[in-house]
Amino acid sequence: MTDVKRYLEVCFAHKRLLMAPLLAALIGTAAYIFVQPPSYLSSATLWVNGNGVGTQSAAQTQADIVNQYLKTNSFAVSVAQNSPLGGYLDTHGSGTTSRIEGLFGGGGTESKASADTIRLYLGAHVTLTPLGPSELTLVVNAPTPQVANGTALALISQLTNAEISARTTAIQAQLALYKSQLADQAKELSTDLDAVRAYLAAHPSLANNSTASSTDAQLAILQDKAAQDRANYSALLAQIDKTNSDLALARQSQPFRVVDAPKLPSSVSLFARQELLAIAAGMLAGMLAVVGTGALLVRMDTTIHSQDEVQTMIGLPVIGSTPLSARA
Amino acid sequence: MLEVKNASKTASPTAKPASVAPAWPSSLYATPRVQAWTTPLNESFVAEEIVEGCRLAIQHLGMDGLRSVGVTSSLRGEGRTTIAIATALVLAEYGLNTILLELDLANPELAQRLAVARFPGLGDLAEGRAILTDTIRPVVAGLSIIPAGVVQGSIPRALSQLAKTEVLDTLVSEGHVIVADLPPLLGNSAGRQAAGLMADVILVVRARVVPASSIIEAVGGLPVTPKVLVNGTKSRVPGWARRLSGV
Repeated sequence: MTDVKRYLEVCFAHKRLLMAPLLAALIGTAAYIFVQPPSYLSSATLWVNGNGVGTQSAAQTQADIVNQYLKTNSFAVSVAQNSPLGGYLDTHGSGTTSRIEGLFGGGGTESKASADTIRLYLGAHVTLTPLGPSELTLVVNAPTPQVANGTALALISQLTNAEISARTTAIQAQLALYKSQLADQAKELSTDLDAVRAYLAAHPSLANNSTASSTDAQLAILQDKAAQDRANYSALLAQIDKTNSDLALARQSQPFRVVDAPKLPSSVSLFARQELLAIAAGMLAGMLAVVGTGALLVRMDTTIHSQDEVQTMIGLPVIGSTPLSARA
Repeated sequence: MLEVKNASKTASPTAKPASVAPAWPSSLYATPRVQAWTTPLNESFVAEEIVEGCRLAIQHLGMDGLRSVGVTSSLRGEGRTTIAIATALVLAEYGLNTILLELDLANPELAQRLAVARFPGLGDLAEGRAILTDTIRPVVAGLSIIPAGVVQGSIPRALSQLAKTEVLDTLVSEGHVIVADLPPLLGNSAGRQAAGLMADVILVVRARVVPASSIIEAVGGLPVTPKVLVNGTKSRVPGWARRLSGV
């Protein structure tokens, strides 16, 4: 309790000194927010078809999938190439440096944005929030309305393509396997038929005599094998037809339906996610600095605060105290 | 003018504390103006809380056999002079014939604060330019002051001369109790030398200002063990913070 009291006494005695780091953190946060580009939000609501994985809802599962896509360079680059984002990043860059350069009349030089830059930008500026079991909100935060809207549209388009591609890849692999097996089976069948024909050519008596041919064991074996291979061939053909049908169905089925399409934002968003995070981080840093400075001040403070401390700190007898500070 | 100012804005400045028994010191609160003083005073306020603190300190110190009390501190600005005035007031309040002695010869301010003539004083007495009776100036009934006066030579020599002339002994033998405003102990030798003239020493320690190491250094080698009076202990923590923290 004494420690707490002493801590409070020291802190309130150095109020201005303690407020300095908090003020510095707030000024730093304000400066950071100031140099950030303007923020336009374009949002879309998606209805996810299908079911979730395990206990997760379909919307949450889809959000996780999209977040995984956003972590890949190829996906990010394809979104940027199909939207105004790529051009914007090439011209303006992604950080605050270009904004600062812009304040001083610099910046604006075009250099191709790297895939990593695009991926990191998208990761920081795209938010996915499940609204319900199957409903998902996608929000794109961008420095211009066109970039925000275009990026949201491209993102939905690329997501659709990627999802369809993911679903059809396995079917296409299966189809390729079936076709390969079919080719093998065709060769085998052809070999079998050649063998039957060669046997019949070697035994002409069997060709026109159905009774004799039906009793010839060797011919029966060759014909059975050919029949079996033909049946296999037919089965493979049926599988290929079915797989082709599945592939067509997968290509036609959409992973999600766009309930609300992204619109061109008309006004600047005052507090986007990054700004809120910056404010929170600034406040946290400021509070930590205040606590740290307070602890340092208490540690360095060897003055006497009350008459109870006189005996222990300087070993002299005490006769009293005055509450108010008398002048010299 | 010597005025005891009640620091509390709500309390009447003329209100006498409940613990004060004698009647006459109430004049200190009720009628601070003495007609004979012509100089308007503006620095002579002593807050009632400080007087009350000194009252308790004097009770703790004990008044039996009290002859001379020096009030000193480690550094300047710790409230030494105000505490000396308040202590003298309290002793006078209890009916003792008190002399307030301005032994801080290098930086005298008592005479100015109490609006009495600054010389002749102790310096003039030590250097033979004045006699004792010329230097004593009444402030209120039961309380007089001997100001620092003018020291033309060195202060240590003047202090030595005061010790030799046995001025303090004379005052004590006449039934006075001496309260001396001493120089601070650190930064010059006069503080230690002046403290040696006193039978008791009160060390004013201003709360939250002077490091303990400086206080220990200041009192090292003093001929008497000083009694500490901590000045300005009122908490700076606002009420809401105290309530929140439970201290």
